[in-house]
Amino acid sequence: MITSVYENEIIRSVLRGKSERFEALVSLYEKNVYNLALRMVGNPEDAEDMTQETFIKAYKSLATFRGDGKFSVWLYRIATNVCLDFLRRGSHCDEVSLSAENSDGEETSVDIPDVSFEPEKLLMRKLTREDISRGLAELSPEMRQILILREINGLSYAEIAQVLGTEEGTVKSRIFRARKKLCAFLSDGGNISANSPSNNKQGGAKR
Amino acid sequence: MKSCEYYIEKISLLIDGELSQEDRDELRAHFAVCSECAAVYKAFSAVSSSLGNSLEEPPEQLRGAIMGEVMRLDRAKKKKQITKLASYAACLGVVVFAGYKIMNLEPADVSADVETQPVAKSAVSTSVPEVSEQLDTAEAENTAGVAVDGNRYSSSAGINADKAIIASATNEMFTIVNPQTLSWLDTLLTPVEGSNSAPQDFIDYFASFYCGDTCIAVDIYVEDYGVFADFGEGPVPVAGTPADFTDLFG
Repeated sequence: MITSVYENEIIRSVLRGKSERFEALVSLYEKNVYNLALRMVGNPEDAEDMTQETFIKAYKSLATFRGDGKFSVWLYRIATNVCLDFLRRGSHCDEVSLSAENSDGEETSVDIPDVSFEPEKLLMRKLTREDISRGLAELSPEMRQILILREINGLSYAEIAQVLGTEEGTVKSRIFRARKKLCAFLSDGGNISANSPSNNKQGGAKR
Repeated sequence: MKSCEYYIEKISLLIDGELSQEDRDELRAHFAVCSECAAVYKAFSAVSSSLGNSLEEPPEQLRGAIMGEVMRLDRAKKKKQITKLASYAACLGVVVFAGYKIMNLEPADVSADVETQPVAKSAVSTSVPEVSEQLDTAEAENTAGVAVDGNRYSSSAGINADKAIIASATNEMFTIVNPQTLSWLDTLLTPVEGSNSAPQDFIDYFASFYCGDTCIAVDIYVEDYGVFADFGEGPVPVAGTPADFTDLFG
């Protein structure tokens, strides 16, 4: 888990004052950061803003990056924080506060403790991009974040633990729960929704 | 017999490649007898690959917008530094001159005294990082004083280096200790008169030359129309041709 020689050299020369070299880092990671943001905030306009904010923050704090971890992991950490901040101060407050309340006892956070789903139903469907987006939107931001880091950015559990400042064991169980919940949504055509109060009863009764 | 709930948790780990061989075998054996868990595995996989395949291209203007802001911040920062530096102008003049001496490597005549040289170099090397940062700053706004040293390009990077480590943009590493190759590299990197048109592309090779305890970084640009090296003061054309570098590093 170390930053590549190439990236380190770019970082070094940016820090020496050659800011134009920063473009090489942008070109390496803009797609991943943009997609992370797109999945987190759910629309292209905000995702573009989040991506820009992420890279500007990274540029400004580049001197604090220590070369002992991957640059990508460091960058995704900034990106997810930028997105979560945005979601918290935006109109999505009600959705976020549910999980924020429970942020200490993270294991007890918003999801239904025992979501079940019918895999056969899910497998019969053709999953479209639209389905996936709607499914992700159903998850709490924290659940979405962890699943995105794994599935879109391809981070290992150890790297995700680093980004979130948590234990690998926590990462493991959170990913599992997020995945199960997403599958439940997708197999059910959207009837399971823990976050939306109107659906709470229905979801609870189902299980 | 373990419960399916136990296996379902493991399925998530299997998808993520976080399972040991032993656990993988156990899980696959379970799939053979439990169609429910096998279906969960298929469903998790389907969702996982849909997620991974749903990457979209960022808007075209995004990179330009980011870099526009980065360069604006860069100019603001340098302006601030220049103002600060100006107040120390007198003492800085000395440092800058010393800095250029170091960055340019020793003039050829120094090489005569091989034995004492590493000591002398390591003695000054501690001040290099600080100085070079100031240099970049000074260079960005004002090149006056830069050309003070007439010998600045009279010797090039490899001189007296006992080792060179070259990293390519494709992240390959070359370590060169052979004196003949080092000397050849030195020849290739000798600055020449020529067009000062800046290289358009990114750096192709990052070279670090080790002379005793001192390390000198040189950025090398290989363009269709020539090779450029940046010894710390911006790219300058050098003697080597693109073909020479292809021969050396493939």
